[in-house]
Formats: sequence, C-alpha cells, structure tokens
Amino acid sequence: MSEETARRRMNDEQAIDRLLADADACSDDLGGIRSELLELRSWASTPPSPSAAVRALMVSGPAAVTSKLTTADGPAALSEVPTSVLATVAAPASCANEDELAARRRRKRRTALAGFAVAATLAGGATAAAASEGGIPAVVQHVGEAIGSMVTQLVPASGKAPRQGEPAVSTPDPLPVNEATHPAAPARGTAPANPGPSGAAHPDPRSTPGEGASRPSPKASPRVDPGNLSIPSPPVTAPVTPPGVELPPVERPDIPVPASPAVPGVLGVPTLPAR
Amino acid sequence: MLDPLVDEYVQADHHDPALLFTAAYNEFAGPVCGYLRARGVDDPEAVTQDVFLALYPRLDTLHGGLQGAKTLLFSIAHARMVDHYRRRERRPEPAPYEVETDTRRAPSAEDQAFGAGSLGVTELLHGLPDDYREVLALRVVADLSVEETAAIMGKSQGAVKQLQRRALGALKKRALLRNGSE
Repeated sequence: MSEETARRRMNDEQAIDRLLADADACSDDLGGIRSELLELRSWASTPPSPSAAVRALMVSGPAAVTSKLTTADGPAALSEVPTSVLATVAAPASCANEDELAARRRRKRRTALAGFAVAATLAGGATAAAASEGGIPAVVQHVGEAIGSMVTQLVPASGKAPRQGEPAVSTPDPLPVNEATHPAAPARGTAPANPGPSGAAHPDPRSTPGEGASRPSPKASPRVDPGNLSIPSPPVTAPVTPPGVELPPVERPDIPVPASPAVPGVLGVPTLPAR
Repeated sequence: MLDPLVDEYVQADHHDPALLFTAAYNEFAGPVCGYLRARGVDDPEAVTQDVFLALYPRLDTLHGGLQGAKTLLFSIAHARMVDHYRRRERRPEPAPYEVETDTRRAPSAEDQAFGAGSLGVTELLHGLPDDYREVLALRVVADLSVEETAAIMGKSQGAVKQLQRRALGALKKRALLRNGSE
C-alpha cells in the first residue's frame, strides 16, 4: 500500500510539473503554487465507497466478494444462493423490459377505457335527446343503437356489419311514431295545466291510445311495463278507434256542410261592358 | 488494489458494459469526487454516485474505452455542478451557523502549528472566479488534457491555456497574500 501511495504521489508530482510547464510558469514561482496544487491534487486520491445502486451495476468483482463475506453468516446464506449473482447486471435489463411491457399494456388499457367512455357519453347524449323528442319507444330504440355503436367501436372487426342492418331497423320506426306523436304534441303542452291528466279527462278518445304510449309523463311511466314498450308501435300506423267505442262517423253526412263555400275572390271576374 | 480490474479490462479489449463500468468507477471515482469537491458542490460523494449512475445507460454508445468514459464522466459531473449552482441561485438553502465552519474567525494556535490543511486550499479556490476554479479543477484534480478540458468547458484550446495561465497566476497571488498575512 505504501508503494502504491508513493507511486501515486510521484505521479501527482509529475502531473503538476507537466501542468506548470504547459502554463509557462517560471521555476521561481513553482515553490509558491506547487504545494497548493499538490494538495488540490490529493483530493482525487480518495474515492468514495460505491452505493448499493452503483454496486449492483458493477461486475461481480471485489464489491461482490465483500457483499458475500458480509452476508455469508446470515440467513441468506442458508438458501445457498451465491451473493455474487445479486451483483450481476442482468437485473436492470429485465427491469427495463418489464417497465416497457407494463407501459405498453397500460397504454392499450387506457385507449380502450377512453373509447368506452366516449361511447358511453355519446349514448347518454343520444338517449337524452331521444327522451326529449320521441318518447319512450324512441328511447328504447336509441339505447339499442347506442349499444350497437359501442359494440362496433369495441369490436373493430365487425364494425361494418351492424351499420348495414342499422337503417333497416331504425329508419322505419321513428317516422310513424313521430307522426303519431305530433297530434299529441299540443296535448302534452296542456297536460301540466290539467290537474288530473288521466284518460277520462280527454274529450277525444282517439288521442288516448297514442298518447298513453308516447307520453313521458311521470305518472304514466311507472304504469308502463318496460318489457311491453314495443307494443304501441304497430297501432301507431293509423289512428284506429278503440274496439269498445262506437264512433259516430256515419252521422257525419247529416251535418250540413256547404258543398262549395262562396269565396268572394272566386266569384268571377266582372266583365267589362262593351264599348 | 483495484488496478488489476482496470488492467483486465484494458487487456481484454472487449466491450463489456459491466466491466467497463467497474473499471471506470475504480479509476475515476476519486477524481470525480475531488472535482465536485473543488467546485464546492454540497455532498460530493452522493453526486459522484449520481454521475456514475448516469454514465451506465450511455456505455452502450460509448467509444474510446476508459478514456472515452473519463471524458463522458467529467462532462456529466460538469453538468451536475452547473445544475447545482443554478438550483442554489433559484432557491438559496438556509444553513445553520456553526463556529467551526465560520471562515471569519482567526485560526487557532493548533491550526497555525499544523497548517491550514485542506481548508486553506478551499479558501484559495473560493476566492477565484468561476472560470479559474473550473479550469483548475479539471486540469489539476481531474487530470484532463487541454483538449478534454476545452471540450467540457465549451472553449477553444487556446482559451483554455490562457485561462489556465491566469488561474495559476491568481492562485499564486492569493497564496502569497495568505502566506504574507500569516
């Protein structure tokens, strides 16, 4: 050890002399700075002991031997696993691979979650819009469409199959429902004014079946079974009279209706007298 | 004691990152720590560990063996030192007052008898401008060549030589002042 110290000391002195020679310093000035420079140089001769992280990256050399010596009499030595294995460099590489794999999986999962959240938001918006316009059958229909679109987004391979069947299912139904509900629209506006919005309160019996199915009033919704929500759509095609009610359409001709009302503008153009 | 590993690496002449890392640590940990200490970095031992941990991922793309590792190590250490001073400028750390570290006090008789020790060199360095301290730390403590020092400091070789000459002159003046005051 003393030989090495002496050798290092000699190397330091040579390095300082070389430095001073490079700096064109005069030999008279060397005595003043040389001791300080040697002292400064001696700071580099005391390496700090490696930390655990640095020791793990080092090759199984002296550091591994020391760790083996310190852990040989402990319980870890009973497992007969050589301690030098712990100091190999294989662990950081595997950690890096695991980190990369976990990050990729996390990214995939995040994409799927984002897609699901967007689809659910769109479905909720469409449902709200349908509930405000078309009534409960339209709500059911839009919910079905939303589920279809979500399945389309989540399963990209079958993305085109539901779209081809979509117009055949969705387009014919809303149109009759909207036709049927349009006459009931003024009745919906008057419904809050009526204290008891029951079926007997309506003077016209023809409007009751269509309105009972399409009206989203808070009292009507608990009565309607969600499983029977598709029933009102077939009779909506024409305003059919209820079976037990006899309407007096036959007496209609008895009402005296003028065949051609006399409109002042249609009477004819007065002819000018001939000159 | 640790030289056989370095010799083994040099004789083997193959690119094993773990072997190169171990040889670099055994060879340059002391100079890196001394450089950081000369530059006034707080806790130079811990920063030395950080420097070597930052070196390891770059060993795959390193050229030049141990000498290349040396240049890269001191480049990283220089960057860490710059980061340290920038951080200190943004947020000065409050330090408790300790009588032992107060440089304004007069030296005791014991200090005068045994010399100022490393504290004297530290005082000398602290009175120098940053460029002077940097070039002295790189050339004297780290034992880097003029070319390597110029590459790390981002200056030309002529500028580094000039800077080194001025730094040595300033150090000599301060040493003379200190010896004269004592």
